[in-house]
Amino acid sequence: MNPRPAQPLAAPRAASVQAPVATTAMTAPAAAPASPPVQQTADSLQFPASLADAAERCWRKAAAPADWNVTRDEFRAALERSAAKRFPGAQPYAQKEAGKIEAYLDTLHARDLALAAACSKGSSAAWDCFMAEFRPELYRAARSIVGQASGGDAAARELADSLYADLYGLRESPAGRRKSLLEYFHGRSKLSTWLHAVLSQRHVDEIRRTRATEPLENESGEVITEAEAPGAARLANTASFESQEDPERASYLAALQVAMAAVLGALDSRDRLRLAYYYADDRTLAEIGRLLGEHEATVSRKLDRTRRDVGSRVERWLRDGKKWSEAQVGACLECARGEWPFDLIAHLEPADATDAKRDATAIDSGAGARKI
Amino acid sequence: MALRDQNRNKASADLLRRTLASSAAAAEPCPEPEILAVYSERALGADETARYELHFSQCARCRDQLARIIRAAAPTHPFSRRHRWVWPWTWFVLTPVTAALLFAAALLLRRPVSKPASEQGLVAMQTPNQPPRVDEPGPQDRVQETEQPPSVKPASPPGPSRMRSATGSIRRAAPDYKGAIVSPPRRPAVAPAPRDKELSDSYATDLPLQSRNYTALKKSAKPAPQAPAVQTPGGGVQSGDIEQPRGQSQRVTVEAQAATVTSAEPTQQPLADNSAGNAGGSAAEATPKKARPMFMAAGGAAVGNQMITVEAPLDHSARMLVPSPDPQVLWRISSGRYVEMSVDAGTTWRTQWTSPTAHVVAGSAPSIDTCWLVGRGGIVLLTTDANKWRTLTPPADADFGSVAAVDASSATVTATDGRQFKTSDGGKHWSLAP
Repeated sequence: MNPRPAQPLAAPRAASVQAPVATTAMTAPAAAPASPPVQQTADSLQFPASLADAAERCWRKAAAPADWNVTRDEFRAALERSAAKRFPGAQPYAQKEAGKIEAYLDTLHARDLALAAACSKGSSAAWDCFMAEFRPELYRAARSIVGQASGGDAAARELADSLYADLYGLRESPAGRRKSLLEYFHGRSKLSTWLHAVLSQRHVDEIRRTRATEPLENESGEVITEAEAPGAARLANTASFESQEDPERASYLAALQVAMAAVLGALDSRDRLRLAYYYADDRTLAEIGRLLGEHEATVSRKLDRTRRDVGSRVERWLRDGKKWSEAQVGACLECARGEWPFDLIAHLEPADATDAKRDATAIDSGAGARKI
Repeated sequence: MALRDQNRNKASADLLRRTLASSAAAAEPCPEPEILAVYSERALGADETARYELHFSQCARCRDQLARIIRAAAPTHPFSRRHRWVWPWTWFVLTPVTAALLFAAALLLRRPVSKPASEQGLVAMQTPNQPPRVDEPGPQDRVQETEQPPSVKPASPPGPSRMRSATGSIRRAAPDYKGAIVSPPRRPAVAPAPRDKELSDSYATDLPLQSRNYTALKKSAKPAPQAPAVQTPGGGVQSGDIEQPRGQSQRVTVEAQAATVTSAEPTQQPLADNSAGNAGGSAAEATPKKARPMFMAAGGAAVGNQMITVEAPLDHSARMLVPSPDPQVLWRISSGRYVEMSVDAGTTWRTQWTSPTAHVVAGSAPSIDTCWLVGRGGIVLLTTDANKWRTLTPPADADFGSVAAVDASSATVTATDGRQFKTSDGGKHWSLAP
């Protein structure tokens, strides 16, 4: 790399608008545009002089090759955008914030950030380096993400290829500037992991969009409306049926639902996430372990402990909060093992509903006393 | 008592399953992909972790994304704790064994290898007085050996570089048009990407980029020719305006017939002819270093014939126009990998699709909304709204040299080996044309 003249990283600069990159006839799309002036936006956080050393360290750590055509100022601007994203509303001249920002800068993946900045700027050398380094990984990741169910190789390739256009920057902002998806990368994670996350988001959203818009069809192939859906009438009528035929069961389930919501809300977020993975998503212990960075045995042990804890808290809530007897609590839990209507809280009397929700706040404190 | 506890535990599990499955959506909006990425790397701070885990516990969408991120990153995951004690010992045992195997493989690879039958076809890519190119693996590796002409005999054993791919493995002998590509890439070799053992064969041929480094080839190659510049709507090639790359001379020989020829006999020129010439046969034009037709696309009714002579590696500034029935609407392929569209007869262009390793060579636009594109590596692209491009499953793992489209559903693609494939349902199903 050619030696560069020393430049103060925190030197003030005039705000300027980047020249739009227009694709016109007889221009080679692969040619790198001229280096535009550094753009200062409202999303940037101008570094004070005290952060100059930290920014310089990042620049040295990035070690961006000369042919990437990314300047010190441009890299600093990327650092400032990253810091602004992490510390929204931070006062750049407050010393305590500067300390946090400096620690934050030291954790960034500087080289990946420099590469992303160069690619979003349109450097062909950087783009070639990006493709050489990440293209095989992108295809492999797309294959892992798509799996076998959704069309296999073709779908994975299409998923990965659809990302290239946005990474390169085929779309234009309203101001006419080419907008690359890499501008949303701020260096907090590795670039490869960020690409995995973007691929995952696209794939999941596509699945959800397809699932949401896919109409139901009956045996003759006619589209069923929402009102005609098999479960709709059942769900709409079950609660009223239950309340008419077995009002006691309805009140049991309603109270149970409130208790569960309160107990789960009081759980540690990690325990709740573990429960959601296991009970809502039906994931295996091994998968949950990978997701949470825990061993399988640890996941199993913690799940068991949390389940027991939830069960005991719910029972305590019903006993102490609702003043139910042991038999009533048992009957309540037994009711829950049958068919569970969608939402019974709406069928509680307003006063009962209010009492139930107020009592829920006392669960974790161990008071359990019901306010009469 | 134990039974009661067991029943209570089961009831708790049922309760949790029902509650969590029907719980309300998260109050906070979903975080950006970067937060998910940082979280999956366990690099979030404690406060952020707690905050976002609460959201994840309430948001099935985020949980689904996280699971896929972890799955995508699975090969690079560190060993779990219970394997940690195995890892150091594994190194002590495997390292010398691996070194010995690599040494043995290196010794084997250094031995001269006889020229395979596939090399016969490579003369098509050679320019006068140019050494052959370094072999690069590609989809055509999958061509079976039985497809080679049985009578072909190699003239002389090629150098090791011709047989060795960028990853160092010996290629299977197969008809390969890239084998004559000259000079190794000047960039330092990039380490091959880790391969997942679970990948299927079809995906396993999607080799790392260093084996298709057209950029490096461009830097080391002589002035390049240009692919046929213009294709008539519905197929066929016209020798017409050819955009000259800046500062480079080129020579392209294009022969075309009218697209409306109805009784054209398919003409097949398999590579065996060139192969025989290379083997020292009596063919007058059979010299290894003479430029030869790369391929011939045969066609029947309403399909244009084309014979293209390519003499040098791809020129990145080369462009090819694909006109539509409306002279105002044009598509343009730049460098084989950028697809651009103009609605004002070429005054302005808008890039619609790009892929850094694509090599699109031909197109056909039967209407102002529909355009079919084909190219090397089995690439088949289609747009039916003049905006969004779809990558279709190719009919075969082959290089395609031309396409003739009737409408958005019906088209015929022709491989460089002469095979023709037809579709009438927009590329969902293909049939081999007789």
